[in-house]
Amino acid sequence: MTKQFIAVLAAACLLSCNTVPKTEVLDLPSVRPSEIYENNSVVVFINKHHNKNEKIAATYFEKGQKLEDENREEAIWNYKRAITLHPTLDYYHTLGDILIKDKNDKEAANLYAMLVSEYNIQDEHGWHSNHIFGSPSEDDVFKYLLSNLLQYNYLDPYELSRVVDNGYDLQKMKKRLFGDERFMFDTSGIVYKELSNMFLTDDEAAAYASNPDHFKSFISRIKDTSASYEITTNTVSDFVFNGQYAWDETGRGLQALEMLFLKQKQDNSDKWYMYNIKNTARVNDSVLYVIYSIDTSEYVCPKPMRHIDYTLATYTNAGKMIDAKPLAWQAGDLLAAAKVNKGQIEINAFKRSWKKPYNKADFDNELVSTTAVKSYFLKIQDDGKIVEVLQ
Amino acid sequence: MKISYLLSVFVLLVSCGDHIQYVYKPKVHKLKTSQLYDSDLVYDVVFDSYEQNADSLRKKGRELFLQGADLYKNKHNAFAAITRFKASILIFPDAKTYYELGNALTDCNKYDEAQKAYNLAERLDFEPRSLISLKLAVLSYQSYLSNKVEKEYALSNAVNKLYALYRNGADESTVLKEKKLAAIVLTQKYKNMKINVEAERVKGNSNGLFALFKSAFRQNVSNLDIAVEEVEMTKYNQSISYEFSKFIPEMENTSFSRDVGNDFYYVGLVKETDMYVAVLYNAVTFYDQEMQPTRTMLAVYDHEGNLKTQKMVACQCSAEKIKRCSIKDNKVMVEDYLRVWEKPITEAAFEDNKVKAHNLIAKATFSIDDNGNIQNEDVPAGYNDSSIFAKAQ
Repeated sequence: MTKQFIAVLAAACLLSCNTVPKTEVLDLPSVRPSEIYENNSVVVFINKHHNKNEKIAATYFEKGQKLEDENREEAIWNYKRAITLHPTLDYYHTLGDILIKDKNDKEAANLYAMLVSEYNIQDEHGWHSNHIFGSPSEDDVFKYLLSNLLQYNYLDPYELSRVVDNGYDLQKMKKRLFGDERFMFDTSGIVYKELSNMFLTDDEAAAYASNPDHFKSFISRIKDTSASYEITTNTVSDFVFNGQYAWDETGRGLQALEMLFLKQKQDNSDKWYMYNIKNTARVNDSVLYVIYSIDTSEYVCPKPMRHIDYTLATYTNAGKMIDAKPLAWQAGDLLAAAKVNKGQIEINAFKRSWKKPYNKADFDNELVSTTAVKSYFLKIQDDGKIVEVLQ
Repeated sequence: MKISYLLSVFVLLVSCGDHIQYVYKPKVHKLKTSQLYDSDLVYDVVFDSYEQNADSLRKKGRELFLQGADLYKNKHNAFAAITRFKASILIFPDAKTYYELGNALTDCNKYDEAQKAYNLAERLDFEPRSLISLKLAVLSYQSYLSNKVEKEYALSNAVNKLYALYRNGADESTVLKEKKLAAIVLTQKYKNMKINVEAERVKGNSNGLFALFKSAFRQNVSNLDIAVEEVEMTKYNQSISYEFSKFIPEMENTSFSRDVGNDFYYVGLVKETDMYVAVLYNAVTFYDQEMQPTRTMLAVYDHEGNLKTQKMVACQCSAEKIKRCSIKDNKVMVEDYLRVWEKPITEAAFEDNKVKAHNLIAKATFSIDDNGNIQNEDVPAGYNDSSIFAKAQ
């Protein structure tokens, strides 16, 4: 009886039980995919969930690694999914590398911006600022710059400040960036030159004009190299104003740095000038000169009311200024035209009369007459000195 | 024995409980109708769809999209199409569906919502982007027509979008095909923009550029009277392109700083002869305050575009000093006034102040001669507004 009972009970157990187990899906907490580069969201998640999803995140990460060669898009998706579940520095590094490989520089720049930026978060003790995974490595900062550079062909001075702020060497970073095969620039081009200047230290920027290579580069870009140059009373007020933003905040723009070759800037280092480089020619093997003009006009003034000053400056081959003299000008009552021919200079000065007393900011005025005042002559000597001569 | 039976029932109950297998998955985001335009959430939903067999979701969404497209394109039932497009998006948010949703909403005059739909299409990388710019121009233009506040801003916005499209090679036929946008071509702002586009195209050709510059002065002002109340010239609001700075040298050294800006506006063509072209334009300096200085200039050119001469004929030179003019054929009569305020301008804001009188302090007449030079016709001896102002004050 007992045996029969046990057999019936066992059969009942077997038959009554469902052999297929039920599946229940449990939601895992995760960072929103749209917020994986927002360090505040990520840090809040890490603080709340710690390593809770570590294992399942690893499965996505491993899948991503397997897919990297055959399906990059899916690999990226798996890496991102791993990050949404368990954001770690390793995962971000892997994703950053594949994004750069995928030429998705914009997203890579977002990723590295998060790694090199501090988050701000408030708790019961107040506000805190910190890097999400500790201080960024030199490699993180490098890749941050690289992804920005690849994206825009340009680096913002603010981005470069990250290098110094994080204690890394700017020149080393420059060497690494410029040596990177993904970054192809015409090293003789202006873009390269501009970018290269961004890495100058304050001391190097201040001493820009004493570097012969910079002077050589400055001279090489002056198109007019004729030994004859004329500024007439009509052309003295011509000026190309597209250099008017020469005073950039960093002082690293080419306009700002090459301003250091000008006499006016050398005499007044705190001032910023709008200038046009007009002409250069050789005096002899060791001396050359540059003609440039500086504008100090009021905005939107009529052309006769522009204030323009031309200067003739002589230099050694290394860029050391030897001498400089006013060549032509227009400002209020004053006007002068000039002719330069093989180092011989003729200057013709005029006096202008206006309808009412001249004020450079009052455009309700008109030029009434222009009268010749005097003519005089200058000569550039072999040593580069500019002297007055009798004709 | 009884105990054995009770025990057996208990074992049966316990042994037959459900076996549950727990599967851990990342929480998947879902879109609700009210969240259709939540850009970040839409991104999350698209991302999460790969967790749930994206192809299958995409296919289901596609079916609804096609139904919507049929209703919209073939049956011309935009209202019904909107429902299908939205249902499709709830299953799988797709750039093209958002774009067509935007179109259907535009047809139903639901412009604000259409804008959100186009924005989402853009976020989901809809191509070509130029189509979205065109559609956004439609919305801005409709906003302008609906007479809302910032009407002029809406028109500028529409025109600027078309400007960007034209610079990228689109032509006017694209605009004319859009029924809700086509009439924009009749607005001055649009016509002015077209001149700017053309100016960029011909900028290497000096004669072509001057011909274009000249043609932009559409209004004939050979008989013009600028009253003392009109010296700000606010009704002349078509801005001159900087491509034409060659003909207006003041434009070359314009300030674009944060604190002060300048702009130049067409007024009209005064006279054109075989020898010269005389035009009027207005220059305005913008400060962060009222009473912007304005200067209306008479400029005379030869037919190659060389500036022969120019003269200020009207101005709001300051709050107190103004200049007006009357032009008849080649004669220009200029009058200088002292504007007198009820309260001292140093003590009262302009909005709390009123002009009490305009006191005429000088008058002079000039003429443009056959060669295009401005000659004194009837100018008082010693005419010099600084000295006369000193006396008047």
